Amino acid sequence: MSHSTDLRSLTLAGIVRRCTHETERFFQRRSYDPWFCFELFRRAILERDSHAWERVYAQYHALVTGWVVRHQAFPASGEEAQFFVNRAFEKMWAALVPEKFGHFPNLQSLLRYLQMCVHSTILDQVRSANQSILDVRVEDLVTGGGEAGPIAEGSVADRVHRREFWEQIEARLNDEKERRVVYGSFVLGLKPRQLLASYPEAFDDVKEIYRIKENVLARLRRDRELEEILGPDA
Amino acid sequence: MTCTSPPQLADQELLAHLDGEASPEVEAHLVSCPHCRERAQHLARLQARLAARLYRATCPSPLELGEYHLGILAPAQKLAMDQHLATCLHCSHELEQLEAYVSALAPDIAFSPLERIKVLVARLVRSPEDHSRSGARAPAPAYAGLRGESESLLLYQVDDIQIAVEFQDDAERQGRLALLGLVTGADTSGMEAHLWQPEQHIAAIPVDELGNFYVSNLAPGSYELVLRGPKVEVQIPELEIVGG
Repeated sequence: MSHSTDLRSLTLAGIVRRCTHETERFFQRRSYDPWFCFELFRRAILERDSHAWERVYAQYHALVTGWVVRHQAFPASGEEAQFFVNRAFEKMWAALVPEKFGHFPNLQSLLRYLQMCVHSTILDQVRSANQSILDVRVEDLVTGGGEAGPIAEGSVADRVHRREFWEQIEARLNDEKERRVVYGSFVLGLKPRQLLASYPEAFDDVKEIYRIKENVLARLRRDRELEEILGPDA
Repeated sequence: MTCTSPPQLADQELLAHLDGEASPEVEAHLVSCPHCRERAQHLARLQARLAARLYRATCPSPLELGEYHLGILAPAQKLAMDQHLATCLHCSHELEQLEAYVSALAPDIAFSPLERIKVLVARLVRSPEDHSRSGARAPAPAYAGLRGESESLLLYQVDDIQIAVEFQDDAERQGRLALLGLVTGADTSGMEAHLWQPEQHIAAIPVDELGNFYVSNLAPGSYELVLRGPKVEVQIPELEIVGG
């Protein structure tokens, strides 16, 4: 292991040169010194050295591209690998503030975080696509129902954060059973049979779940404040 | 508009219809009653709007899940995540996906000592001086048969591996030398011979299946010879190349 003070005295170009050499040795399964590459990350993240971060990107973007391509959700994403590669590096740069660097004692831990950023970036896209499906369903139902005019939620929705909206709904629920029905049905997207399977001790049968749902929805539909948020069907 | 077959269906029956769980009687009522069908559509739109706003509203971001997996969340955040994962099958599934994904990629960031290439440093066991004293013959590179037995043979050894090296004048380049080598006692398939001088890579030559390798156009001087195979690397740190 190279002494930390010696590494810090090297130029960025020298660090990059040795990092490249040692990385090549790693992939040849030879003994290698990981501390040059670690120093490159250290300068980038701890010292917020953007030039060092550019070199991190150059050093690892081919490896990260391979990680993107090997993710099970990538083929169906419809995006180019480079899109996720760039987002993964952006995510790591934004998330790894200097205060967090102490969690990373070696190069392996930093590269594992970068792997996690790849997964996280692809998952962001998957979640966004799933949300779009729900949004399209609303549009389809409104259009098919022949409702005139734009959906009222368009302008009001921007003010209400999703979690805050849940808290508003939760505040209108009377007991734990109602909370489980609404949370399970709309936050988790479960059908009543799935809900019963998840909480067999909480409900007698599927009919009870439908009865609770009927009562809650009737209450929410009478709520003027929610009607403004959700639109005319509330 | 009123129900064509009173009493009208209850909302819970309409909800069951929307989930595909209604009884045949309810389905039959809806076929013939526009009023109850419209009520069902209202409920469908309400549920769709709620779902669009609430779906996974309390779920952490994939990044937070990832930091939880890596064990770098603050204690309070970790506790909140533990509680959330106890009830959220979506986040539990994503966490399982992450664990499987990084496990599959683990060889890209670390390898075990068993996978590491064994690096050996060979020592000189026989020089031309030793040869002239003892008169014994060492294994000679196959190419040397062109010129006959050489008295400039150097023999290096580590474990069971022997490397015989000799030098000749380069027939095509005056003042330059050629190196002939023979590796025995090791699997030479996929092996390459690398010649280095300080800070400079001079040559990389494949070692044939019999263990022979040949490098020409060399200047006299000090070199490092590294024989790199799939499972072993043999280093000769100081190889003095002199005229044959």
